[in-house]
Amino acid sequence: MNILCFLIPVLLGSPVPQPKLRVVTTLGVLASLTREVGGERVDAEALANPQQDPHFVQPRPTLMEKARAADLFVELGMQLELWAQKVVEGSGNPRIQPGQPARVVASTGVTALELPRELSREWGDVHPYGNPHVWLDPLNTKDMAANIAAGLEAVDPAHKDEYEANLKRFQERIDEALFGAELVKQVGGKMLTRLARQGRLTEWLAQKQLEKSLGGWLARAAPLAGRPVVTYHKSWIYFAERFGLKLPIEIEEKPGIPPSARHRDAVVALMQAQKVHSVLQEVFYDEGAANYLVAETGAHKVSVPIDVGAEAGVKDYFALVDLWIDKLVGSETAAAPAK
Amino acid sequence: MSQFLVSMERPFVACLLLAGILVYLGIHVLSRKVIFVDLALAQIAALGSVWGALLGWDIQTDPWQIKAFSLAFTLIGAAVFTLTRMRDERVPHEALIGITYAVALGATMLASAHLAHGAEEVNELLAGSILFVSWETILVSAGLFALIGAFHWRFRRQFFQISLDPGGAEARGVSLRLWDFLFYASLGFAVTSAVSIAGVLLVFSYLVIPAVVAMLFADSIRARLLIGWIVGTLVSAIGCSVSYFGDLPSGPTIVACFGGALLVCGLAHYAIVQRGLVRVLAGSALATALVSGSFLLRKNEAHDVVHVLESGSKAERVLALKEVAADPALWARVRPLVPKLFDNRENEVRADLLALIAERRDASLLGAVHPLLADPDDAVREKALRCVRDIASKESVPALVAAAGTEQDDYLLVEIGEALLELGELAGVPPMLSVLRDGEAAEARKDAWEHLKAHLPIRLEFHPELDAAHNAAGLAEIERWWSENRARLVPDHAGVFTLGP
Repeated sequence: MNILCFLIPVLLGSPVPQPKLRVVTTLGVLASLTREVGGERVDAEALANPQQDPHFVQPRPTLMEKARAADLFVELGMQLELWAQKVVEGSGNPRIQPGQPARVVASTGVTALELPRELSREWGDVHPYGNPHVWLDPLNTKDMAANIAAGLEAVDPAHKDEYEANLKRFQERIDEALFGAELVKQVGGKMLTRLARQGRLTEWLAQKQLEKSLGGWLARAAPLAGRPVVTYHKSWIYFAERFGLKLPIEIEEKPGIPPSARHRDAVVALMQAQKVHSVLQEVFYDEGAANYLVAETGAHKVSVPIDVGAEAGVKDYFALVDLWIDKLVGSETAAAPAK
Repeated sequence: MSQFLVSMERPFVACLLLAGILVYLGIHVLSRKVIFVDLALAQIAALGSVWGALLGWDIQTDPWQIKAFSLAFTLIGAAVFTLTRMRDERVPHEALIGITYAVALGATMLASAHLAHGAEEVNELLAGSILFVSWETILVSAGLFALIGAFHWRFRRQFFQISLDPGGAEARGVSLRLWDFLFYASLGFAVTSAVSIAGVLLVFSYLVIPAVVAMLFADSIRARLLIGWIVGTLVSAIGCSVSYFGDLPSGPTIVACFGGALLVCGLAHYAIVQRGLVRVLAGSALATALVSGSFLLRKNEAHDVVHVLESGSKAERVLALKEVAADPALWARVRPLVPKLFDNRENEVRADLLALIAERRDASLLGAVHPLLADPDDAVREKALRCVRDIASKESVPALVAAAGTEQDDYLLVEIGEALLELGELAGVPPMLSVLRDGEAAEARKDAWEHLKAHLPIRLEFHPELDAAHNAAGLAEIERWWSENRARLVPDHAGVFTLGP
């Protein structure tokens, strides 16, 4: 039967379609980036349910099955998905073991924020490689996509040029989506990226009298600049860095540990003092604390996914960033807290 | 202090409510030797809500439907525990309760594997959030607890008979199955509601620990209840205060206080009733010595900057470099490591090192910095360029000229040209001219033109905002000027050129 299935198309003379590269990623975001870079050549699938907390995924037999068949395995790294290594080990797939060319750590080379502040390991072990939520800054996805492209080229050198071209196009699209096409044309994406990363973009644009040319997400996110926002988990620092939000305090005092009464009160006091409009959290966190804060201060609750595929409309990375900005700008421009 | 009262008001009232109902139920639970039945019932209730969520109801928007599912499951659980209480105890009841707990927990995990809030639901059940309890929840729970209390008061004879003396009760014609079911059902309702306020851990402590303390000191139901309520209230007050003033999470703090209370009461009981005061004191002294002795085993965290830079993680290297920045005496020891650290390709480390080298004006390290002018990462090239400009040594000229030959980024090309001009090198002019000619971005062309005008005595018209096609004439003019005058240009100390003879 198997032979027949294979032979019939050959005998009939129809071309056997070239098999696609099977890419397995941990997060939906990484699958989305892989599709951008791999185009028609790849079948990318994410292991994590995009609605759930990416820190905690129960390794299931089906996940290992998928990893077993993978030609390329893409993880974020920085100890975000500690479960990924368990899945890979369980898969028994030798090609995707750490250090192999078919194992991509997408955060490689991305500048980490929030590295531990003391050499002592007492607190540092929380995130010894810095905060791992790097994809919340669109600029970082350019580096992540470059790492994925390098992985695809390593396992499929025949189509190197195609991957390179797709990568370049994706990076240009990110620049245009973030800064607006007009500004990218006038200044160049790389320069804008360097300026934005150094926090000098606004100043530089003012100096060159180019403020009006700014478009894209940065222009839409203008109402967010300088606004204090309370978040549940410390996952939004890259987003805040890019779009100028301030994150004065988190609901969660230390990752994974319930807050103390004083901390809860400190959050409420700070929200009232700074007139905080928005309590921002990922959809998978419990909303009890946010509901409490909203009831106490009259602020708005902004509950958003942080992974591609979590909601019907969020099909790729661009839609995800659109959603973050729309929801937050909506909350920040809505009526001020009543209390 | 008043801040404390305002802040802990709701959690403390919630604790008192829990103590009120759970201490009473705990006495039953202990007499029946079904200690873990509350955990099992709570888990079955959680399974119920997850099941409801699987059927499409949303925990946020349909709380009442979800609640109905969890209550229905609780009733099923109560029926299971009623039916499994066997007369001859061939299989211990506690074993069946444990099995029910394990299976319900496993089923909850399975069912929640595909739910958005699944993992949270399981976690929340464990930890609870007594700190964020609302008055509405407190009032609803108070009403429910009052109903359960009244029901138990009305039928106290039957309830206590089947708990304390099931054989005798049956002989007197009390239906064991019926009253068992009613007991487990009411316990299930109370526990489910309590768990949603405070989490499994805290509910278990309220249910069992005050009752155990009471059993140590008293025999009559009335005295046990009284002692249990006193212990529950006192520990609630102490736990809330410790949690507030010690800035600790409330639930776990109260549980720890319960543990401490039981320890103190147990020791006191032993000292008084068994007349073992000497042993208690000796044991306490030994325990204190052991605990303080364990502090001697603390890991020694002494670190050496050079060692950390060589073998630490990236984060540790960044931190070590911060120390080096603060303490110039360390610099001499770190310098030999620089080439190796640059090879590591860690951009954070490279950036910090370049800043340090620039700050120290350490020209002896230029040999290590120059290769970075050709690094694949444009941000690294930019920082290396800044460092070279800050040090401003003629030694950099060949490396800068070589970098100008390979640089693809217009802005960086302008900066290379600027660096060379600042050093009094006319080799900085061709990169500027190439940007004027081929620069894609108007801003880069503007940059190049401004720098060129600042360094050279050039008085020509050029419109950098226009692209090459519209500037052909101006460009030709500039290039002619350059080839005619380049031999006569003389730099001053700041790299501003004048036309010599």
